[in-house]
Amino acid sequence: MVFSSSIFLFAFLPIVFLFYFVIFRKKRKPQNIFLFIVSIVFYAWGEPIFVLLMLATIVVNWFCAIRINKTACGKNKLWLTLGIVYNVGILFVFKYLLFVLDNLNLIFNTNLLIKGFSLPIGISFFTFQAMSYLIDVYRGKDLVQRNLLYVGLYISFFPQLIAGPIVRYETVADQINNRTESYELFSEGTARFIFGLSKKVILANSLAIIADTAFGGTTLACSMAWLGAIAYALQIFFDFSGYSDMAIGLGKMFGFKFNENFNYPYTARSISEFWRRWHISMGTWFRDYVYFPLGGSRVKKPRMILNLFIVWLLTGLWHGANWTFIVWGLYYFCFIVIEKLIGKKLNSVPKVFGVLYTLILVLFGWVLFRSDNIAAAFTYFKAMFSFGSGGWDITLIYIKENAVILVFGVLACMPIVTWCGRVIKNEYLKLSLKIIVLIILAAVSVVYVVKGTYNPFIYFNF
Amino acid sequence: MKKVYERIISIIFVGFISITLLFSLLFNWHTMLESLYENKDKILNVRLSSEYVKDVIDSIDSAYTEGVFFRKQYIDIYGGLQKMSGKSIIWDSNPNNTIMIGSDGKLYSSGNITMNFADYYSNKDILNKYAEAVSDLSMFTTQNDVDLLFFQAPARYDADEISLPIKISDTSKDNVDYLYSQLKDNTDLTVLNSQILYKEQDIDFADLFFKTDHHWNIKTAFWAYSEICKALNNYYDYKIPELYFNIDNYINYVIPSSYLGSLGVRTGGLFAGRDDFDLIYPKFETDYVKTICKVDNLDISRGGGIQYKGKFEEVILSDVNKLKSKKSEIIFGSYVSSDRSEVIIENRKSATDKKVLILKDSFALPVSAFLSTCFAETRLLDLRYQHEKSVKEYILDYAPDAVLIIYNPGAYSDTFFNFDKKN
Repeated sequence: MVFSSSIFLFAFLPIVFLFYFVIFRKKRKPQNIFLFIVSIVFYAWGEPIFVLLMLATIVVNWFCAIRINKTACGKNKLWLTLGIVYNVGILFVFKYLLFVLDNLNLIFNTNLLIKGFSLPIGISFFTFQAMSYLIDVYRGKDLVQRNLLYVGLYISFFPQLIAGPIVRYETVADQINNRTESYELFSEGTARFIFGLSKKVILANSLAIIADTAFGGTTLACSMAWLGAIAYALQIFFDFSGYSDMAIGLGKMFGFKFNENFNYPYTARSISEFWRRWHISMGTWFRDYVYFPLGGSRVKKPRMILNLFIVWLLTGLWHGANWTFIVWGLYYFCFIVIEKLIGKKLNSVPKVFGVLYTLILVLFGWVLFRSDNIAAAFTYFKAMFSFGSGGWDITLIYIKENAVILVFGVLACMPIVTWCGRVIKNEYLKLSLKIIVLIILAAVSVVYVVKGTYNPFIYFNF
Repeated sequence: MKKVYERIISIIFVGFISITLLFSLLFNWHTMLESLYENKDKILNVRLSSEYVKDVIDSIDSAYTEGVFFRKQYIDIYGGLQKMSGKSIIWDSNPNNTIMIGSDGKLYSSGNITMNFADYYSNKDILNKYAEAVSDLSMFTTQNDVDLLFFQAPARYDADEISLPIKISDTSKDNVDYLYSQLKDNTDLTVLNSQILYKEQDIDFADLFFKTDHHWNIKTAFWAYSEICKALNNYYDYKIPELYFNIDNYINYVIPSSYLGSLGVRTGGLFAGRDDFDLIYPKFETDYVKTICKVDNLDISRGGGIQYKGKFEEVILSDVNKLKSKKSEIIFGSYVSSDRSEVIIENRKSATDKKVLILKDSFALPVSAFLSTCFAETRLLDLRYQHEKSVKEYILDYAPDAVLIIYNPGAYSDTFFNFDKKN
């Protein structure tokens, strides 16, 4: 089930509210059991078979965590290893096995065949959550959860289940039993959900049409290639950050506080800063569970570079089993290393140049990311630099048709709301404006949802 | 103030989604059930597979979406928003359903123009195959002493007349002319190509079609009907009195800005406006029995097997009073019925005592309605649906005086041109 669907908004959500806030009011245990059950229904709606894999993952990780914690003198490394092998194993089988076999066949000229698995929605998110739980328990944080349903709720909680943010168990461990729902949190959550929904259905879905046209075209003019790349950069931001906003908002409605996942990444002055602002939950996951254990930056430079290489290789791979993702990850590795070597000199560059430098590199990165294969990416790059190739008539049609969306898209990449908050001092005016904006955004979003517009979700595939 | 704000936001949001759920279930449950029923083959074909479960879930999902309270109004607003933002193209999740406004102010669809038969377009071998099929049927009808007439509806998109915001590949106009030339050159069949006829009669191309629908409008359908009557009189000496196909002998009640066609329902009425809809019915006396045959389960669910008796404006144009007072929704199938496998129309006060079989697509519905005034019995067969007999077997059993084929260029597919196959 997707958030931007009629059945979620006008059936699933009100029914969940009714049971949660009315029937099970102030009964924490039934509320948690109910949230777990509806989360499983939510997942099964899109993945009626792979929901079994999700349930198996819950049981395995619950069991492993208990075994890890059981030994009186120190933690049990064997069960940690087994748990991680299980999580990485299912990720490998469902996401990477075909890719590996294809490449082995290519290298060794063999014909190893396997029946193709479809990718379970959100597998990268829930396996990473599960692994963070095991590792945190192993690291001695007194977090082990003996209640299977609560582990299940943590791994499968529907707001963040299929496209993140990757919630760490330590973030919500206490909230599972001791959270407080309030009007304040609920209205904050509602506002956040509406902002996210509007980002997704009004901006991302409209921009997707330009991006899909550009990246799906056989012959591409230079102008259209640039427009397509810009549209995709905006689409992926609004798609993913919109989903994160909806997830964080829904979490707040039920009293959960998740960490932020985006912080205006397109205002970053360097690639390093961009990655501190983009998909923060994934970045910190790799930092805490891969980069730091490898030694992080507190090692000699060659080793640090190797650590970074591993992290960025994994970051690329996390996004998908395709050479484009691997090259995309390593592309960022190169710039992160360069920036590390340059050090703080980059800060002396005027902000506008820093932002431009970052935007251009990120844009090229998205071309790699969006292309079906490396050859297609290079064809696209070639189109971007085939100046004088004409085709302005088509590009202008797409610009004219989407002018409003493009303008709002660019504006929404900047912290406009924060700026407005600073300018408008009057609290009444501020709140009144917020209500009006929210109602307009909600109304327009609902119109788009009910109409059933172009509705691809990029991060479901990861 | 902050507390008021918090409550307002929470109450509006929860209230809105809850009321929508409640009203959708209370007032639109029948829409949901109809949608589920349309997917009954998927749902009832129980099997142990993930595809089956997904099919069922998808069916429920789309049924609920169809039944969301005020859905049509939301779509209207969507169209209005697009218009306000200066758009002339409405993109759809299915690229074939992308709709745009042409230079003539009418809506066009990338998918509608090719009608899902895109593979057949520009393929002369396939068009030759259809010409041969009609030629073969012509020999068969001649052998069995049945008259055959092929009426070709015009293509809606004419690249010489209309420019669109984005280029589309549509050769339907050329295909019509090509099939016509093949039939004209290689058979003795009476073929009427409306693309030639309207030009000969100086009819403005812009007046032929609805703005929001892929069909021709009712006035054009009446014109097509009169051309068919003239041809039957000229070529087969049917002696249909002119009063039957003279529009002056019909009441034409226009309901302004009332019709949202197949393209308009995807954009909403605020995007390109609505069409006027003509309720054309005879001034002369009529007495009908219409039977929608129950060939398959779908027909049964939609009133198949039921007989309707009354005047033209009660039975064939159903039902004029309700349409005028807007108690019934105006649809293209307000004439005769929506597309069904078989419809039998008996006319007790017909112009002639002849029996006619019409092989039809949806364009033929209003034409068939008017044709029914001329014949003692008019039968409509739609080859897209289930039939126990092939067309040839049907002709042998029924022994009509004439077979009329009335197709638009979107009907160029094997389904419509296979006269030997039982479905």
